[in-house]
Amino acid sequence: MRKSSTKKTGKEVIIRVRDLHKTFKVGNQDIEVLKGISLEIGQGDFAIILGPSGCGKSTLLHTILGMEKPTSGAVELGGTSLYEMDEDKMVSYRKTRIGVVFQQSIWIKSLNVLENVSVPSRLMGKGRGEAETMAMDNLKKLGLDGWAGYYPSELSSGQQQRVSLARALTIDPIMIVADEPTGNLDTVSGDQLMDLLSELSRDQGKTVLMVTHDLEYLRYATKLFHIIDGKLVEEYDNQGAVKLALSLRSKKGARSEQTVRDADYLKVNSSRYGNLAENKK
Amino acid sequence: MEIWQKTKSKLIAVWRIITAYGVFLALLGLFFLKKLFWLTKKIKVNSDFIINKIDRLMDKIDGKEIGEVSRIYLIELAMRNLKSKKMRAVVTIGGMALGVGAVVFLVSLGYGLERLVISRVARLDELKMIDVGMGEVATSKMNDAVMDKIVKMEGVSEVIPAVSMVAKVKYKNSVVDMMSIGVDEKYIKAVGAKILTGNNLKDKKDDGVGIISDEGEVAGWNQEVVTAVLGTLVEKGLTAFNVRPEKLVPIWNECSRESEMLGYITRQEGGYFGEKRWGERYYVGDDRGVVGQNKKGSEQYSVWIRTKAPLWKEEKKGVVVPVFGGNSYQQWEIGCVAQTDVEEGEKLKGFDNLDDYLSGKEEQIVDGRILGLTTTATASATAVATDSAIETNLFETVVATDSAGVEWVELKKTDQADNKQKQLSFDGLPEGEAFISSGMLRVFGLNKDKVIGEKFGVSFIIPDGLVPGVTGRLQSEQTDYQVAGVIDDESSNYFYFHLGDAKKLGVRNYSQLKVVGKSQEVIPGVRKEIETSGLRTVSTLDTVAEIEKLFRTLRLVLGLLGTIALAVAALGMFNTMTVSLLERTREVGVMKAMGMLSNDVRELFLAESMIMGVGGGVCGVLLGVVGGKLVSILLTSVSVIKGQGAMDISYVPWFFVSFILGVSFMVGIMTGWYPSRRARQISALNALRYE
Repeated sequence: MRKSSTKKTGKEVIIRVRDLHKTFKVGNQDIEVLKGISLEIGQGDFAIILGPSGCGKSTLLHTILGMEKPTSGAVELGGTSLYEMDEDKMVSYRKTRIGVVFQQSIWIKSLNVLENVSVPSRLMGKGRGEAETMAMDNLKKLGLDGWAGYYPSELSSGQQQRVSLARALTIDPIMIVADEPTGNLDTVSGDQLMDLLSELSRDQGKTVLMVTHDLEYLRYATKLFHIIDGKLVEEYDNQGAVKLALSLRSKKGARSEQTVRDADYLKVNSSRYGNLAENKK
Repeated sequence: MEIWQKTKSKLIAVWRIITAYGVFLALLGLFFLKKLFWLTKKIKVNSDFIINKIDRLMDKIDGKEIGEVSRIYLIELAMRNLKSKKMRAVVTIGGMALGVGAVVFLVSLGYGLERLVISRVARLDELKMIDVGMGEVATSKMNDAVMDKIVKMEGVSEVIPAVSMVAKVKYKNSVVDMMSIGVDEKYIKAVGAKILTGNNLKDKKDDGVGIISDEGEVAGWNQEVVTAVLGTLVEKGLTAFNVRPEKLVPIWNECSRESEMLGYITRQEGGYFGEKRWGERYYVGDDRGVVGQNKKGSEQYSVWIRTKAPLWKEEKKGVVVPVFGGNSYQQWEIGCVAQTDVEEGEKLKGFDNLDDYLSGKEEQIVDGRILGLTTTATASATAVATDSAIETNLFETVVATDSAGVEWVELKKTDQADNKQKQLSFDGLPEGEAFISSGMLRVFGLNKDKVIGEKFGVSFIIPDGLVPGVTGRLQSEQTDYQVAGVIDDESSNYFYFHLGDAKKLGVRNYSQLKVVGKSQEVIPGVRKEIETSGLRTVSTLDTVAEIEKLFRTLRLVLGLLGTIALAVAALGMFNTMTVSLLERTREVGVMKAMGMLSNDVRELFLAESMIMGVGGGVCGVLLGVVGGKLVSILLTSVSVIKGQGAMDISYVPWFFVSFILGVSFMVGIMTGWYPSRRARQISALNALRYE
């Protein structure tokens, strides 16, 4: 069913996960974290994986990134089966195609912002000059070129996350994977980052895969995977995502003024994505 | 088969690691070279061209494929990491430098002291020399032939002869016995004699070997060069000859001194007959005798006389007994004697050559002269000549008595005139030049500035064995010597004279040969080779070898002490690396998540420890050398005040510098090994996990 729906939209499947199982051994106990997850993400999708803590969403993300070998099942990135490659090939696949934004920005502390941003392209063997021009371009796009000479530790965490995004973008990836990128940010910075990400997926056709448990950001999703206890419970499009967000929120009861405003904002946004949702039908 | 495959793959892996480190080291060197040129840029030197060249070279060496991390970037990263923790890096490198410096300093003291001691014992070029003297075996004389043989040995650059004799020096009514050494120009140079005043000793044109002239009947020949073929007759017919009184003339198997020496012949009544043949060239002097040469003029020959004669041997010094053949008769052999060793008589007509003569007339000859001898000889003869007889009247009375009491009596008429040391006269010697030691100057109470041109009488006493064919000591007539120079040597009394003077006295064997090797390394081999021919060798190298042995132990102890410091430094470095790894776990994780390969991560950490190791090594070497020189300067200032010369007690040979740099590089690798391996194992997930 899902397969055909993606075909309808004419999008190329970037990420395909098939019947993924992952069991961790803790002491003598086997803990099954992923219990047969299958999903597909197409090009230009803004995909969000939602779920409570411990549901296995991070493990799923790691598996998609090629960092955690699944017990069974397969991950295909752009048509290539990830775990059939050897370690080094997998790493070089990752470094040329996937940009990663982490929950906390991690830096090579001895390098300044510009140098940190140029690390991925230098790892691809580009020369210093070329890499730094590209890095500078990306910083400019995100309005951070004024900070190029500073050390990352001198920046605020919101700025750091944006630099982090710039770093992820230097290699011009086809997909951006973000693991709770807003986790340490205040709402304003978080919104800024989310706007940037959605712009990327909308305007540049980058596929974004993001893990969050923050309901505020569900409105950005064009695809939402709700995972509970290692199983994919439901898959939503944008409108479904907004509805889910509202219903989940109402369960939690009254919120602050801010949330109310957000809710209004959501309504506006949902109309923005309306066409897309209609297309799906 | 499988094992072979396994070891092969292992070998390949090891080889890869080695080349990787080689590349790394080369890149590191270039990197610092580039930095150096960057610095020159700061003082406005345009070195862009060189920097570009280096860059291109680095790219070439790097050899990574497109899309892979270049090692240059890893080195850059490593440098940045070190810079960001400046204090820590400086302390760690400083620790390494102290450790390496301690080793270098201590070992340099070991080397420096060794050099100091050796320089006090021997000059540098003396280490390339061997003194050759006569060995226990009396037959091994040192003459031109032996010299020739030694010169041809591998690694020998020259052989310098010398003759040492006791000289009775008569100066202003006093007679003193003094050591005198006949030398040539090269010898003076080789022993490093310093001439205080006067001229240098210059080789004169050698005017030849004198003839022993008790009877004075040997007239000088004019040297004549004729074309000749080796081994052919000089002239047809036989010549009568005889040995001069009280002489032993060596007789050789062939007409060459390199052939076997059969024994000696002595003067006998009636003399000998022999044919003249061209044989090996021997020294007769430049202007006497006949010299043959081949058509090309490339080889020269001398005249030998081939004869059949009864053999004698010198059983002990001065005691001459017959050589017995298997049948208890005195042995007769056909052999050659040098023409200059004998006196010639008339020609014998009727025979073309010796073989002719022997086949035709042998019996008759034997009947005529030797009958008495052969009839009295029996199986065993014993020598009974006493020591007192040796010098004086060896030939005149009983030579030996056999078991039956039959006495061997020399048949020739004895020379009654001189029973003392045999007198030799110089052959046309003008006034000789003497170079006297300043010690000798003191003996005569002379001033070195006024001594040039002073004359003194000299009578040489020639030791046994220097004049071939003569036993016993010989004394020359007195002749005048003029002081031509003063040699700086307060400690002993001697003078040098021209070697040619000795040759004029008939000296053909040398008392000492200085063999100069091409390098110090060839000396042991050359010595061994010389010693196999029965000669005795002495070299300063023996002493030096002993000193070196002692200092090798000392150096080892010093080096060991230094190594303790180095080990402490290495542990410190290990600690730094491990801590830095633990601090950067997440950094490593993020690099891996961004696509850095595990091996690259390992190389990054290894690069850091290698930079610290090599940096520490270079600083340490500088520290050690400077420290050593400082101590030297301190000691020199003390010793100069005390009136002694400068003392440099630190010396670091280049191979040790490269060795210690190699060691510090290895320490770098070893201390980085474990942390870099752990860095390798860090998972990219570390970057994604929350702290």
